[in-house]
Amino acid sequence: MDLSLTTRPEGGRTVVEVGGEIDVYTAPKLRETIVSLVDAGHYDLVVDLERVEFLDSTGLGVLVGGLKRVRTHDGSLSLVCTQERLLKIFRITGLTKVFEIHPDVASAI
Amino acid sequence: MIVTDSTEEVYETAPSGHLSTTMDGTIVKINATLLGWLGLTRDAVIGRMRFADLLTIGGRLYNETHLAPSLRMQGAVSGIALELKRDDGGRFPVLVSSVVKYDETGEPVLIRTTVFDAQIRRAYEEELLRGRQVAEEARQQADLARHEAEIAHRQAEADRAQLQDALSVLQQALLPERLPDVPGLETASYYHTASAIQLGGDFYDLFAVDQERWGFFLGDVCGKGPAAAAVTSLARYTLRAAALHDPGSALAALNALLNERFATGDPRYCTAVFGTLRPDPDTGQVAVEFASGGHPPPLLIRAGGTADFVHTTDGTLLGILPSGEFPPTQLLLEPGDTLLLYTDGLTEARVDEDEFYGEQALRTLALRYAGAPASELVEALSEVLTSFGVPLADDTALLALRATP
Repeated sequence: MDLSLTTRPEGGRTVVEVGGEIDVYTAPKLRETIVSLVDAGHYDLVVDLERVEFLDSTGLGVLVGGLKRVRTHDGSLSLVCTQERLLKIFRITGLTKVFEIHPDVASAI
Repeated sequence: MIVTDSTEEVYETAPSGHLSTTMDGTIVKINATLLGWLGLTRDAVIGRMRFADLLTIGGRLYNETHLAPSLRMQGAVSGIALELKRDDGGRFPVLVSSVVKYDETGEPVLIRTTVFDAQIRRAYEEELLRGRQVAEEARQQADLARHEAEIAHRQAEADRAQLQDALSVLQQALLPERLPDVPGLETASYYHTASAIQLGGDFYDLFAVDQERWGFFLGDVCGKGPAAAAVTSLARYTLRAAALHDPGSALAALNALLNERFATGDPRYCTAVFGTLRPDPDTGQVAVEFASGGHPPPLLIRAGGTADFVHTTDGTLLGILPSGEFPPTQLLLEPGDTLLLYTDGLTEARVDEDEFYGEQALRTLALRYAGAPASELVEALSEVLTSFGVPLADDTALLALRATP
């Protein structure tokens, strides 16, 4: 019932690997990570959701907030996700039109 | 070398005091040790003072009422605690033992008394007493502290209860007090807050638009707490006000408002289904037109025994894009058909550590209630929600709309 976050530079972008659950309790941690990356001048982010087990509306809010944040710096935030459960959430919420969603980190870069 | 000791010297310098008195108490013999303790000279004492003269007033009283009578009756006393009065005015605590010496005819002639230095013992007793006092004070302080803690605890409980009251009033203000009676329609709703002290972010409503139409919506604000409640309130009133327009326009209005209002600072989003109902009194059918802003698809349960999710042409999560299109979907409820709206608190509820309730489980359960009253379906779902092994992490709202059979 926890969230793990690791960040690494790759191919000129910053990959944020997320594991565990993004819910109302853990979402603030993800938001802080994204905010501090942007503050440090990293505007091209790839958020890898492959090891995410749970994503609720608060988590979606954080991802969208991150996207808005990088866009003000002409940056980008794309997602890596192949899990049907999560993809369905992105489809229902119409976020497939908002985020670039890739099957793996390599194609996101 | 053989060491010897003289009896006289032992008497004089023994580590205890010794004295002999006549039966009336006049001192006839006293050793140097005791004279030293008293600070008196032999001349001042022998034949001039009585044993009682060596004692404090309290000691004298005790001597007359207890020591002397016991001595006369039993011929000996032992270990009596008294205080000697020193020449310099100080006191000298002692333990006294006495025996009466009798002559050949059995007449008492002398009292021989041994006096032990009880200063250490007295100090020890005082220490004990002080210790007891300290313990008593500590106990009183602990009692006081406990009492204060209890008062503070009660205050905190009262504050908490007050906060909870305030929050539940606020929460209630975000939900309709009761659903209105809609002719030709049977309704039921359910709301569960995951936390009693955090305002939930789910909302729903049902209200009259004009003579023929009724508006309804159900939504979920991303996040929790006062900030989410502010968005909930904004969403509710915006949708109510926009209800005269078609559902797509109402959602577009809310989308634009959220996008603009929360453009700076912490962004806020919500998902919502918004629609209108037009019951036909002649046929008993209810025409439904609705649009979705990123919300999970409503479930249509036909009286005939089918249950299917009604996928809309997806509109996005409200508040993300400056403008958006929310194309409406139309359907017709035949008498006995139910349209169920829910938030992801239901489909994302944890059955246990590894499993979520999910859409299929919802559909399976709903099928069993095909043709049943709306209230029975909502009750069954609320029971399912409360039966999970893991406490619900998210808020859940349910709204069931059924064409009266």
